[in-house]
Amino acid sequence: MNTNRPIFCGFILLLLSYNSFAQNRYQIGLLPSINLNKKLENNWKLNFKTESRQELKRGIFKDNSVADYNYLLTDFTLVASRKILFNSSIAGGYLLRVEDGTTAHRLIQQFVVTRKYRATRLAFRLSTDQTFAAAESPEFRGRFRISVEVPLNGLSIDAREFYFKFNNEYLNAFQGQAYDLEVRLVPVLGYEINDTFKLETGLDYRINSFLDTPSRQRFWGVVSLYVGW
Amino acid sequence: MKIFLLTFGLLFAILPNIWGQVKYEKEYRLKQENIPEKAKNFIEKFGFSNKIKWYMEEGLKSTSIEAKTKENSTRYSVEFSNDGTIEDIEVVTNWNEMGAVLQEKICTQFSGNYTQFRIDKIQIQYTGAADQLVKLLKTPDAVLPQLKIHYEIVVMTKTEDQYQPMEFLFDSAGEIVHQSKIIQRNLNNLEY
Repeated sequence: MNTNRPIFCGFILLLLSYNSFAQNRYQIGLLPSINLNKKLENNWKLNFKTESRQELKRGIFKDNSVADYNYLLTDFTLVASRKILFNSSIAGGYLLRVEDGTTAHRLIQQFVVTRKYRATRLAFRLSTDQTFAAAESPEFRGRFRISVEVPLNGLSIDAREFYFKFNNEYLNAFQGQAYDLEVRLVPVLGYEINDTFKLETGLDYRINSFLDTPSRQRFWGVVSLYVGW
Repeated sequence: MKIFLLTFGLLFAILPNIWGQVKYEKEYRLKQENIPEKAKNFIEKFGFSNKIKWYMEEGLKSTSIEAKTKENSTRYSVEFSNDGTIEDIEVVTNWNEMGAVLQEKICTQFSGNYTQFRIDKIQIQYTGAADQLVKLLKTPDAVLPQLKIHYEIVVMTKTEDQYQPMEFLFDSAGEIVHQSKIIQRNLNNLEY
């Protein structure tokens, strides 16, 4: 029996029950993104991603809410990665965040391992980042993400086929004297248009600030286009 | 918002230049009504205790039908032509069951061609007369010298600075019969 499953489910139930308390904030919005990936010589790859956040509704659970469209920010990320073993790669990059006329700068480092089983593919991502913005103390984060991808037809994902992908990520953030943990659950339905294009849509659920204060929960509708060549 | 729309517009403008690269290899589950009776009858004779999963494999030049199942911890894959005629049986095995002589011969060839390699999957491929293949499925340990044995091996290889998954077909003496590069699927949606 897999002992990790009950622990994981228990943790989620704990989060959900904890957040039935009052004063928990929420935000609902959209998170469209385009992700371009270019293969280079000698196992190098270049990734450019642009992602925008757009708020549709915000409020407090069982209390006030405001439904209003609000453009929040756009991120531009450039990451160079290099394959270092058969199934793993290291990467480093830079993110520029444009938000309300101000900018933030983030340095990114990551290590990814992928594994293919009979039909399922797993990916483990370990990453760190450092964010610098004029009005705030620098923020340092350590992140761990596990992703599972399953074809919805057959044993492999081929062109013109749907698949299901689920990401679970834990982000440890340090800023000044403060520490925060954010948990992300991202179930998406993907469609492999061909080997170059993939389209994914689903939910990006994020919860943070739940350790010693009322939580902040965010529900983003995700639409992502991946282009790789 | 303007900056976001402008970026999206620019990206969509360059996408048509990349659109042309289409791969036509495809594998998908077959519904019962689409399985040739001949193939269905062949498989039903053996009374496999586990569920049989049927797949259509569309290659660049040909198509085939595969019945996959697991019996006594062994994975079987029975391949048929489109009209349901049996073509071969593949049995998943592991490196330790290959025999020392064969292991050494295969390893020597890999070591000579690649700076690093890792064997990911081995299948024993049996081809021959239908009645012999039937015997093989009924009594997996039977000695059937009329059947031709090949080993299909999926290997991750590294040459100089290039990683490449490969598929090899070895004959029973450990000589390479065929080799081909495996086209790696883009995993960008799992990495970023």
